[in-house]
Amino acid sequence: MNVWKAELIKLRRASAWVVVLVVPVLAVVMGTANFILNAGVLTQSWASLWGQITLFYGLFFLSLGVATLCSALWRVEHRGVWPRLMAGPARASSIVTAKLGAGFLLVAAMQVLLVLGTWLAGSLATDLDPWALPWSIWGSAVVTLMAATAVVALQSLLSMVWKSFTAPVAVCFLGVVAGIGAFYGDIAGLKTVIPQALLARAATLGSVTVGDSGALNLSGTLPIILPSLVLTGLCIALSTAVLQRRDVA
Amino acid sequence: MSGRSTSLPGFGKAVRLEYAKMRRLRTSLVLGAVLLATILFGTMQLFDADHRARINEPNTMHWEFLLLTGYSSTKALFMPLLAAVLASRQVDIEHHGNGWLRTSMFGVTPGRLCTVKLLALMPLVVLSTVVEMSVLVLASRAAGATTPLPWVQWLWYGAVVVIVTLGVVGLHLWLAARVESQLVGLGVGVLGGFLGFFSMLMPPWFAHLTPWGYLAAGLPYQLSPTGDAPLIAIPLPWGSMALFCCVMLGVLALARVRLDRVEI
Repeated sequence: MNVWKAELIKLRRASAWVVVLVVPVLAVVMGTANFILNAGVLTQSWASLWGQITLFYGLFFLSLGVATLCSALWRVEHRGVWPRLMAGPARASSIVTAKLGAGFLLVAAMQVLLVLGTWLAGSLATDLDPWALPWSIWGSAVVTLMAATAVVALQSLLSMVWKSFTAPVAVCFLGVVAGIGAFYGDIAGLKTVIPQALLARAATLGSVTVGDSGALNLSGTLPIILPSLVLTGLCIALSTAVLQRRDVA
Repeated sequence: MSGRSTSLPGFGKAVRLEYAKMRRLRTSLVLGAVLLATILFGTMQLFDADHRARINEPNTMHWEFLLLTGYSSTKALFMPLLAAVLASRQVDIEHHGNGWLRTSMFGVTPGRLCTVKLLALMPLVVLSTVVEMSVLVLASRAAGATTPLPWVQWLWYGAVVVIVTLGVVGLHLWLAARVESQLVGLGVGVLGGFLGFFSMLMPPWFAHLTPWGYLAAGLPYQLSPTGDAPLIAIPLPWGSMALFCCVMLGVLALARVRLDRVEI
């Protein structure tokens, strides 16, 4: 529990909150602007607005935001705190899960901001009924958050092992490219094992912007959430094993 | 008295030193990965069997769409992040190794050092752009495209990509030198990706507001207003690129002078 408290204290003063704020706000602004400018072509509905906002956010920018956040979370350890961390009583698994929990909290904050920003933008800048925001939008945000857990776990592992800030982000970028390729190419195996592909699928689930995106129901979400949980567990186990056996300072 | 020269290291020596640093930083690996990703994304439409069947039809306008929706959109997404990562890695080595002070002792001030870094990255940016566009053309020919390539528009846009990329890399070098936290540089890179990509969808005036938007402002095609053809070629936007060059040169010159006056 002390490890968790320590991570929460670090989060309070972290500059990572800028990423948490900027990425969803940008997605909302750009998506809404596109929605308004193409009003003649797009259906004027909350689902259509959400689709415009989340399309490139889910395919590309959310994964990169997660990678940047995880690099920021581990940066403080790479700046000379490792010996103290390793000499402390906390187990390796506690350290790894605390970092994962901190990353999860930050991504959850991004998702909340995204939904609230969508509601504000739709209510103030368009003719959409503010009281008609469908619950499916919250459902989509939660499913995306659960899929993002695998990306958080993988990026946390990479950021733990590599001292470089940008190297894990560069690897995530390659994962994004592979994930988008697997998603659009409908390559069954790859779009289940690449975390960024799972995230892309979750973010576009039930979307009116992407055809054949799958439905936001149990049969549509389980094939995404279950692999995501398995990948998360694998990454936690691997991170713990590496931390126990290797000097990562 | 020794006849040995005590002149300050010239640009040539400084640039060679930057290449030595790049080998350790694996800059070519990062560039290669982004190059591969750009090619894969840019050629996505070639994987569509329907598109390949219609590739030589006049209404398909394969070369025009490849430039407008394939290559330029991909560059708008990827280039800002690449610039941020390259500049950040190139400058971080100075922050950690106290390189600013050490090179200043030899007369290579921080502003001059950033200029050297930009000059060192220039051939790599040019080479990667040439390779990307060449592979797109070769892949299209392999997919069965036999219509003539609009050389003028493609060469123009290649130059636009190089100029805009170097301008953005220059800005990121200054930013990375002033702010040690790489989070800021990467954050600006993500912001640039948003702005660059959405500049493709916004009205032309929006594209002129930010450096990343000039990948859209420099496009030699636009959607046809009359519907006779999907796209039309427009007069090459010399004015937009001249504006970009003037503003960026001024900003980077000012940034260089400022870097020489602050302690890093």
